[in-house]
Amino acid sequence: MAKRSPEETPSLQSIASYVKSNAAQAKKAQHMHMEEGSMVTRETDYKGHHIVVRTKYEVEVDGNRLMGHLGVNDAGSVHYHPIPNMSFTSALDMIKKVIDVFPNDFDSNGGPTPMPPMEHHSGNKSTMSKKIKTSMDKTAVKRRKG
Amino acid sequence: MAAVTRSNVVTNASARQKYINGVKLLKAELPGPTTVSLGIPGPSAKISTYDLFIVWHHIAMNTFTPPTQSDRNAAHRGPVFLPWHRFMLRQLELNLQRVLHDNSFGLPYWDWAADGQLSAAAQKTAPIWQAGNFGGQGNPISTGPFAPPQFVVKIEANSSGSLVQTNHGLRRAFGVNGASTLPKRTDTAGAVAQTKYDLAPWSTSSAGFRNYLEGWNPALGLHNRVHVWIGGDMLPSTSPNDPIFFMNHCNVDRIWESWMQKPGGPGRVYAPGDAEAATLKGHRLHDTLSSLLSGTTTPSQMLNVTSLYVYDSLVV
Repeated sequence: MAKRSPEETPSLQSIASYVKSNAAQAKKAQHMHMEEGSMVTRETDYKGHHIVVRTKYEVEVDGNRLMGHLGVNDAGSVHYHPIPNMSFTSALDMIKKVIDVFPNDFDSNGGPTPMPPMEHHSGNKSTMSKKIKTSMDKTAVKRRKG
Repeated sequence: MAAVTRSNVVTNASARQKYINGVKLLKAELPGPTTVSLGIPGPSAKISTYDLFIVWHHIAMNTFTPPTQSDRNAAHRGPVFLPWHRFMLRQLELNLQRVLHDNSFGLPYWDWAADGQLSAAAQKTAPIWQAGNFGGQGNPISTGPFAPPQFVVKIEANSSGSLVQTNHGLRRAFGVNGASTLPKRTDTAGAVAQTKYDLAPWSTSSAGFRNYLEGWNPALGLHNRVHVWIGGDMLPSTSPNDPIFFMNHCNVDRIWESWMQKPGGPGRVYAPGDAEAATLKGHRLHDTLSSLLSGTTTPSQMLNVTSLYVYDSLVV
């Protein structure tokens, strides 16, 4: 979209127009699912060597794949995009927190399920029976002379 | 137009009431966009102006910068965190002025470090959470101007990071998600004492003021700590669902302004500059910021906004 002054006085018409022009990007970004698990790539340079570490995470709760994006920062802390203000030293502890934050997404038969509209109430289901499996499928360290 | 003054939401009752009234007006206003038009599943429903800010925040958070890594996004976990949220706050302020028919309205802030000086128990019953202010905690909250049915959450993120339609009252759970207390004055002082705005690797692993204030280094600090301490709807990427979100971020913005105006301090500086690697696109000085319901801007344009607004106090 064209760059226009963000200081222009907004109106219902301007809001509708800008949202329409940004809709394609909005649709794309808000469905950031990891169909095949989260591949995390970390890179750095050290003493003339270029280091790449790729790590693939697949997270299951009660046998069902958790589809949000998991990341690892350069310091090794893991984070899960749907709880964006937290980081963890343990991926297992992180998924326990996901279950705590989204109790209605994990029904009694286990696994993350989409929340139907208009039915999101306040029940706090037990998380004690949930089985959590986190697998780190692939870690590769590549070094090359710089 | 003269600059407006942003003041303390607890001590300025007029600004607080205008904010509450304005949020409710924006929550009831339907400018046209629908859930279908933005790819949110379920039956088509019009999205309020207030809820478009929630969608915008979520979209920016879901836009990795660059897409080949999973730390920095278009609004968080990198240098752009402060200018992007300043941009967002200003857009809300402009829309509040519009619906309030009051061009002198300034967005108030919540000085959470003042409450952080209280005991852990007293923090949960501080004046900000009284019924005449923002109401207290609960699932859903049952006191204050944002308790249901007068204020209802319509769009939220689920455990997979997708937006979904919903219909529930606002939720808060103080001090139970890993942060038992709010930040203190010593914490804000630690941020203001930083000498560099941001440093490589420009992420949550960085040293510097931005990462200290965002709350990654030290871990669970300042801004992040406030989100986590409040809990409930302040935890997912749709955290602007709670109107206290903007009071938190207005205080974060005030701390940034305090850092830039500190006598003998760094001044209005920003990093990374435009010469930095293309992998930092979205975070460099003149890169375009993610927008949804207005024109765009750049970090450079957000550095000095004293012609638009000033704070009544920079004591943080």
